[in-house]
Amino acid sequence: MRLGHERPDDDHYVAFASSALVDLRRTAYLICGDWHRADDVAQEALIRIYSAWSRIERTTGLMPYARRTVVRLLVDHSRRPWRRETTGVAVDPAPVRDQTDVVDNRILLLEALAQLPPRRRACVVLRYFDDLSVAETAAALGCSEGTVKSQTSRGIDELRSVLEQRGFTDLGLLKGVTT
Amino acid sequence: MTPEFITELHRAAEADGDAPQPPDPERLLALAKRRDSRRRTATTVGTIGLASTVVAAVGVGSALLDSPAPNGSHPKLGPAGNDGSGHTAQTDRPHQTGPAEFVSQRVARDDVIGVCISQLDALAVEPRTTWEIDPGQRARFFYAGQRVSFLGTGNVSASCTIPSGDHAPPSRVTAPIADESDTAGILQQCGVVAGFDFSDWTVDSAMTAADGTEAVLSSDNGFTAVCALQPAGWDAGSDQVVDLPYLSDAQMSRYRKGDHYDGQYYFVSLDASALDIKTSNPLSGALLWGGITMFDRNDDIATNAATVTLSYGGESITRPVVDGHVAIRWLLPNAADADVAYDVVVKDRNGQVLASYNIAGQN
Repeated sequence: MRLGHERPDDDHYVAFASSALVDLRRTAYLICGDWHRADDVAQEALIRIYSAWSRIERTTGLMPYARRTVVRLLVDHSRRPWRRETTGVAVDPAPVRDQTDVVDNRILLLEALAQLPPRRRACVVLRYFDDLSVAETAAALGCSEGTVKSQTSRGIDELRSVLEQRGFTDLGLLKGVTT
Repeated sequence: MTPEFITELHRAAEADGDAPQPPDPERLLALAKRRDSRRRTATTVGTIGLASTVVAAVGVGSALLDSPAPNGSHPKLGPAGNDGSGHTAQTDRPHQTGPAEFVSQRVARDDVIGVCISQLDALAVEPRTTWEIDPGQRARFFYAGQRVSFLGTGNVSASCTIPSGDHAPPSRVTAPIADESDTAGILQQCGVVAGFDFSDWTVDSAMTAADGTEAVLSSDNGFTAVCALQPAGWDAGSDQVVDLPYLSDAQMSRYRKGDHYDGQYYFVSLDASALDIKTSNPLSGALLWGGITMFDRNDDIATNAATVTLSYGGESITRPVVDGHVAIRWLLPNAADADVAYDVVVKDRNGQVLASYNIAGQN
């Protein structure tokens, strides 16, 4: 089955890529903790969209497709061992903290996120950073809504635990976070 | 949820002062067009596909390759003498130490040009060009058997399969693809594609459909290679692919048992291709294909799995599972596109269901 006029015109593609790239690479960064890798998967997702633009636009929607591709490239199994079995996450080297006990929430949060298993981390990022619904997150991850709920809940619990272990003093950060 | 938590997430993601410059959308457009062009008009020269394209997927694979292995280190699978630093010599390549005793080997980025230069030179690009690894591939290490994209002056690009052993250089199969019953033929043709001698390996599972064959091969010491053979021209750049392993099944199992792994069990994740993007074939619909290594609920190799049944749109196939391995190549003429959500049922030898799920959500 070949559909005609699948490709977008150049202006449309560049406009979409420009706007989507910012969000995609940030989502990817929160999931993988590595800007270079985030760029790679965001770029790959946008390249894949090009050749089936019309179909994706008509069915999945461009941004959901791009986000799903990013997540799957980072998280999901694939036939190649190095992608299928990738789990460990290295956050970019954290800046050395100063000696004044000033806690950098940003760094602590990234470190805590990196402690979560990949799919759990993706659930938290998609739900709270991308503000996706449970159903949208399930679609992005290719799993059931129940799985999203349980994984997100466990992810938040683990985040809270890790932050507390690290002496994070602003315990209100996760207070009231519901899944 | 608290706004504070969400705010912190945004702060974390938006504090990208230390991040590299994001890809340029105009360059993305060019890359997308090149990829698209490559799909439609494959030009192959010897063992290297030379086209005005860059295979960005390789860049992604490479980037993920660069991810740390268990315990935060890269797998140290090299022979004695390799200190695991990754600064492997140009001659360190995957090889067999005895009958079907496989040893994987990574190749440092700085060494890749050395092992690929003969393939690149063979292209005889005029005027002479200086090759560099596509900057989109940022991995520090590559693995033998992996395809690496190169860019040359004059807007030319090529991919090189890192040579894998003392066998003939990687090449392409031009003869008819070996049938699933032709074990020797599969090993020979997979060896041609990988540039590796599989003659002492075992074909655990093979399936032929739509003129191509998917196979899972295993070595005596528990490494698994996946081989996809399709007639040349089906999908430029990926019509014939062999994935050499860098972890053995046992190492994979230990990896999965680590604290940070959240893998799924009895999982049958297949690549899906919409056949309308394939060149030079008259088929329509979708093709599901892949070589699977299954793990059980304890993250051990699923040796208790005996069969896997896939169902989609009223059609189904059942495949035997051998030592946790199964090769699948399933043509779905009625599928509209590659976004196929299929049902999976895995059973043991007594017919007991070990796992049952839709690929969109495992139960």
